Amino acid sequence: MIAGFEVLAVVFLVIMIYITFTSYKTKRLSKLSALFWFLVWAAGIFGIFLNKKLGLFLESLSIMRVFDLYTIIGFMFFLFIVFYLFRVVKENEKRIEEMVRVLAIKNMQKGE
Amino acid sequence: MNKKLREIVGNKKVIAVIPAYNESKYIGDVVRETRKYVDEVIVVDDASKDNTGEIARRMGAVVLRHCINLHKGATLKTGCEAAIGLGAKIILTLDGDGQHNPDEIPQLLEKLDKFDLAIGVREFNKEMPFHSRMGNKILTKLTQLFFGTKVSDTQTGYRAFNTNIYPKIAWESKGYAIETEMLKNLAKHNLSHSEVKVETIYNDDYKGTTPIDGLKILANMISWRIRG
Repeated sequence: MIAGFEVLAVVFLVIMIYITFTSYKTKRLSKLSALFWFLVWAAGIFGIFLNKKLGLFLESLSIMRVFDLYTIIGFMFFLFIVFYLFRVVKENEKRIEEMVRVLAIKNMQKGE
Repeated sequence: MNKKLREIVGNKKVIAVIPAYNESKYIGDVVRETRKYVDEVIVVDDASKDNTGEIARRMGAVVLRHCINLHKGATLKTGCEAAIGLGAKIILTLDGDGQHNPDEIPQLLEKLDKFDLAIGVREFNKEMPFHSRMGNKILTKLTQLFFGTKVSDTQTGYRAFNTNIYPKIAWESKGYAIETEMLKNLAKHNLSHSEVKVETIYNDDYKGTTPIDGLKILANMISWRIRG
């Protein structure tokens, strides 16, 4: 028997599989990216249904439920994404600055 | 440039770099007065929403325009690189909001005969708004403490330097931390500097460095200190 919130999690994961599939079909995701995300969502569903089988593994990590494991992984992933985006923003900021400065020098206007 | 000043700087080409953002009210006068003392004036218009660039060009300045606002540090960097490209041997930097009196340029240029950098230091008197006075005092003390510089006004943008030191003092800061970073680099490379007392002029109490900028400068200083 699975708990109510686990049903919600399954529904969420199925929706994500659908979105990943349509993103792949409309060529917004490459084959490799789509496969990666399919595996992430599928692992989530298996985790929920194999709750009991994962018990021993969870116990060794002092985690009570699979859902708690997901919360921890989700939080770690969130922090990773924040760091990754910070890096991307900084890199893009640098590129834009360089481009704007080069354009300004190239289009120098002499005084009257 | 007048004859006396030419004798002081020799045949070195002097270019003034003026960063400007929405300075249509003052930029014309600043360019006109500055041109008396230098060979060329470069105004870097940091994506102003008014006609700052157009006025500066009409007053005889070479104008560079950023298509998006990049802030002071990046704007000065664009100006300095353009100045070097135009053959400058001495670069003079001053603000576009009329905070610096161009009549004091000769005193700064005179110092470059013996020193690598000349700094126009202001008196922290009542001409300076209270929040700027406090901020400047705190940042100056901290800069002295962190980097061992003896400059008495670390946030002034009124400076002149020989372009041969530019690779050593070049900065990464995009915003108002540029002044502090330049001094940090100056101390790091054991370059010499001299101070010139200049007039304290504040035309607008709410323009320029804000308390938030002050905190950003402080954060940068801590980061540079840690990185060494």
